[in-house]
Amino acid sequence: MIDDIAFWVSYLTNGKHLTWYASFQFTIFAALMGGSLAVVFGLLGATLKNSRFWPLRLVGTIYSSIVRGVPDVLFFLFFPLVFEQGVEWLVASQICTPEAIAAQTAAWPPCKEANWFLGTTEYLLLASVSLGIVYGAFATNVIHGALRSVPSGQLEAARAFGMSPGQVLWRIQIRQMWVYALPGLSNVWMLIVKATSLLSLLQIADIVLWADRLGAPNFLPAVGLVHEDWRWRYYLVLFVFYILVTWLSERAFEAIMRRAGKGILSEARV
Amino acid sequence: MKKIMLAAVAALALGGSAMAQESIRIATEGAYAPWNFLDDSGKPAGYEIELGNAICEKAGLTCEWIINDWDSIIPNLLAGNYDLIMAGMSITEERLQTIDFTQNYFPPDPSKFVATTGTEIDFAALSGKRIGVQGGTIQAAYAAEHFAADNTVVTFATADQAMADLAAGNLDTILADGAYLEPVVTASGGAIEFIGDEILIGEGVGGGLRKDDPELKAKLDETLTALKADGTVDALIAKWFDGHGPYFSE
Repeated sequence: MIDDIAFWVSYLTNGKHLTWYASFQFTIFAALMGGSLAVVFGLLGATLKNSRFWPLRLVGTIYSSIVRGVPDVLFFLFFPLVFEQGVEWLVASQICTPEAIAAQTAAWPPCKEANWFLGTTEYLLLASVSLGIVYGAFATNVIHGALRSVPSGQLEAARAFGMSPGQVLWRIQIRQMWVYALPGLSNVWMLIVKATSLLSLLQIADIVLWADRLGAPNFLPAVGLVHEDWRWRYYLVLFVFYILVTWLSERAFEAIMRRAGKGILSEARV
Repeated sequence: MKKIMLAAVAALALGGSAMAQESIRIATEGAYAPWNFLDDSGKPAGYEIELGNAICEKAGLTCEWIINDWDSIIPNLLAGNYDLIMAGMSITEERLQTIDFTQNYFPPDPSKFVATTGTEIDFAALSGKRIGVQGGTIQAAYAAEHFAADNTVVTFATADQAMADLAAGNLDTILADGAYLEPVVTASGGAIEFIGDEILIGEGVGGGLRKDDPELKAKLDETLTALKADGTVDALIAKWFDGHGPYFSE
């Protein structure tokens, strides 16, 4: 019995498992970073959509309708690749000599010196930006609607006090719209959390990839503990993790909601 | 100002490629025991890792290991993300059209079929079977050419996933490298057995290189010749493949 416990403790704390536990940081980072960027893109998109200058309004509308329609997996693969090759193209136009281009055998990049090697950090940032762009489009819609829900009397009163349009937007409209936006934003946040399970698509050794590796059946004592297909056990741990994150998020949003609604508009706090 | 910056960038780039002579990046899959796998500490280990480190030591190179998925391992070599592939990759005509290989460091080894014990398959008239292979391997190409018309060829991202599906009863048989299957069959305690004939495909396993890297190829070939001559390679094969061989000295 004691031996069993000692065995499992040492198995679950071997380097492979410790790497797995450490890889949760990638998921958490991508969610927080992606979430923050989504709010920034959302505010930007909603402001564009509300603009009185029609080309800006068009940009905002195109952004929110097109990006919302593209599957997140597709965008996740598309954006980092386009960004990488775009940077390589720019660098290549600066540093590639004709000889280097002639000597290059691969189709891309134009010359070897222009190759940009993406590691985990770069991919993680690109993944977060992708999440931010995709879910920023949803946030745009949420915030756009919320901005319009702020009673026009509030804005008129502010203007009557002599506030500039910028002050009205920032101090009155955006300050008050959170109460209307938060329920929708909490939905967007949950979608972002779910989408973090895609990180392994970008060669990030994340929690899903490690669960796959650890759960795969092993037949060779030289490799480690011999076991059959254990993937469902590891996936179950991920289930529990995501449910825990959901629960924590709900608590957090309730608290934020109470704070955002303080002193304003009791009818919005349903 | 712009000129100066360009010169600085160029110097960096040139300096980088000059330094690449001394340090190389080697890609492996990390999911093909005993060739390459991740050990309990989560680091790459196995026959190719030990051989690769021996080559680097002998040739005076600093080597860094990179884990890359099998299906993108050749494109990422061509893009320049690393300089060498050591991932149980067989030397074939098809691959030689896109990349170069070092001389082989594992002799030609027959591919074999495995099935769960007691399965009977008529290989003379093979039809209606589900045959598992790892995608992008010599076996996948062989199966697509010879079996795809009358059977279902199922491709997997890793060999381990194919084994898991065979154990789960989703496949009738798997075609894979004999030296990969050998220890699996032994360790399965009779649950999995060899079946049918052996098929000889490929010219042994070698290190994959870009075609524009002849200097590295020459250096690695020279080192491999030396390591084969002094018995290092055979000793490593004996160590990692349960004393089975095949060996170079025979």
